[in-house]
Amino acid sequence: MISEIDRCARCGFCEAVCPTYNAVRMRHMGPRGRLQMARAVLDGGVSSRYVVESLATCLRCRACELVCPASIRIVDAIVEARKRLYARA
Amino acid sequence: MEDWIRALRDLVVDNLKRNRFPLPADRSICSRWASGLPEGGRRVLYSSCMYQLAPLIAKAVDVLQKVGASSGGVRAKLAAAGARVFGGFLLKPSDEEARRADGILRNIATMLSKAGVQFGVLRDEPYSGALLYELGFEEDFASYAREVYRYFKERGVEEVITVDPHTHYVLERVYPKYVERFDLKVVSYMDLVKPSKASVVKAVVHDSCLYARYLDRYDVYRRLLDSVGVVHVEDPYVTGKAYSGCCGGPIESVRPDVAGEVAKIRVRQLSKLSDTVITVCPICYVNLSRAASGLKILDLAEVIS
Repeated sequence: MISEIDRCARCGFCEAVCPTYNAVRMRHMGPRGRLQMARAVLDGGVSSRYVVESLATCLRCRACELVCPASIRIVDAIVEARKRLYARA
Repeated sequence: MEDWIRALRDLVVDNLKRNRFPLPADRSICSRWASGLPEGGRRVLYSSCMYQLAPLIAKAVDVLQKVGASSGGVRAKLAAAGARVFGGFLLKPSDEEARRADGILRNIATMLSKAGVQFGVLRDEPYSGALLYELGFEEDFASYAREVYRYFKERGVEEVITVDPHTHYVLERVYPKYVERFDLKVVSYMDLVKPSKASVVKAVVHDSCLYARYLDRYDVYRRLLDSVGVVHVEDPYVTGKAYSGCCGGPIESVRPDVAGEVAKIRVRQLSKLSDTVITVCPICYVNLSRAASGLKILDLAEVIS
């Protein structure tokens, strides 16, 4: 999953269609920010309030996946990271 | 935030264990609609109490917010006690909300009967566990899913007719991952009914993300509307399969403030196309209704009959 996340070119197309990013305009509340948060968690990194907030607020609506030029399974990465984060807590 | 999510998890798990319903409520609200319908059988119409539950989520969050903040800070620690806050207190839908939920489910049952579909109901049906899965507590969900599956098998159920996308998704796509030898057939009422009339002439459809992008049913409810002559206004950037926006509902219990903002944006987009919005999910209905001003929001099963 980490190698898939690393395909992210940070183009930002996903942010244009993300409902939570458009609602609050904070990078950790949009897909490309969430992917980096997910990467940190999957890599065993330290959690913070922002990591939890980022992963817990994904709507899993999949709008981002349909516009991602790298075809990253963004929601799967976020859901997997969230599962690990909560299991750790 | 972490304490808040933990409080939600405790509340849901605690209630599922005691009552097979995720929130503290009188379960009789779930079965009133089914009075007079045959009990049990090989094929059942399964509401998972979603239409009655949807308005209660916001009420539960309101109560939890009174004891803690939705993010960070010292007050969030108080929210960890949320599951205990309810005590003997039970959440109740308003009379109007209960009447509406019962009416939708009865209309679905009537449409199924008229289409020649034979089915029974289970008056003590358990909740599917979708909320727990969507909150991210998959281990808790997995053990609860096995219980629900056992419940169906003990009653000889082979086929389940669902009425909402959340229940349909977990039963069809998630249960098989966690329940060994899962063999229930899962169908949506929309695949079976043959409506003959509609209560509106023109509207815009607000898609459920699950139906449109996970369950491949984007065209199914549009075809139903076509069959009864309802004009649905389309715009690829508002109602297209790829671009139709979420209502914000899935994070209603985690960050109600963000969910509200998402709903406002969605309502603004939809209102440019029509003043009548048709939803196909009880969570979408509740979330959009709170943000709607001057828009008429209806469930599909309030429109077709």
